[in-house]
Amino acid sequence: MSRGAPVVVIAGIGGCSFVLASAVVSLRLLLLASRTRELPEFLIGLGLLLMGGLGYPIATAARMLGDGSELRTWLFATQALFTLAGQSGVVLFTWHVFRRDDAWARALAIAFISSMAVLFVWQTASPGWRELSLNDLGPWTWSQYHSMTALGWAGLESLYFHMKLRKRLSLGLADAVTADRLRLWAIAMFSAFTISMVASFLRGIGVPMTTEVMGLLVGPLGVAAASATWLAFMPPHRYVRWIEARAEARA
Amino acid sequence: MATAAAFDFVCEELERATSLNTLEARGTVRLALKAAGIDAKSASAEQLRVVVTKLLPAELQSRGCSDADRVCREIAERLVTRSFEQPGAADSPEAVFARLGGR
Repeated sequence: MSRGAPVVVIAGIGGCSFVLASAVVSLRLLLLASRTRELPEFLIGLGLLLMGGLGYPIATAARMLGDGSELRTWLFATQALFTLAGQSGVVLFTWHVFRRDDAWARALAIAFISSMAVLFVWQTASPGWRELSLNDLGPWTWSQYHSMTALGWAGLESLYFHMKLRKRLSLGLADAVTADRLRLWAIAMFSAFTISMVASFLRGIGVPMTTEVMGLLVGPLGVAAASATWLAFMPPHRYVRWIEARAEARA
Repeated sequence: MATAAAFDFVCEELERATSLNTLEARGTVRLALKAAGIDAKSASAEQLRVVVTKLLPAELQSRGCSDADRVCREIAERLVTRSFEQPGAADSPEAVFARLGGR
């Protein structure tokens, strides 16, 4: 076994749990959206499916392929398209659910989606996706800041509303499980945000993003994001009962 | 910023029952709502009833209002006899997240 093998295993566990949780939870939310015909469940379901359920495994597969293959280039472009649509879904969800009446939030959502679409078209026109897949070059590399914006904003709004619900809980004006769901969604978003931010920082200071480096980053934070997403939207009855009992004890 | 009808009602009642002017009454109720994690623009009558009963008396006492408990009790009683339009309650973050988890 090579020296980096344990890290690869950690990365595998983190990555696989993230993909599995995203895929299963997103399908549940999209099914819910088909029943309720409501926009929030559709947006968040779409975002989770395209970013975690499909985008992440496509990106992993692309990096495992040898340099220069056409398939690798195609996978990079597909993953970018999924990232564009998925992150747009998360941003629209955040705006629609938390800040629908705020003009600045509407402007931020529009600016986010349009600027990311511009980067996608720009990369496609010149220098092309092959250059990105081979040398990590082109305007699409700036989309890392979009990721941080989408994930960070979602995390902050969820955390802020969770804090409001905690105050209401003490007056008997909120549901403990719903308050906990907002906390879990904030944890999931901040975990993913931290992966993006640290990876971006390390890349910026010239640290090569080897499997070992990514493993140390994605392993624990991937498990955290996956667990929080699962507990938020598909909580086991035992967990729900525990949250309710804890709230009752505090009341 | 538009405020909820129930919030406006409580502020008017408070202004009538105390020596607070409009700005002071609205500011006092806003502070009590903030302590409860509730926005004035989306506050429901039930939320306001609880805040008026449990938090507003202390806010009024700290402003030198005599008989704060009685004033708040009477406002809460009047609040429950009225019906207020509650726009957007089904679309609130709380309602959306309750639905997303199947509750």
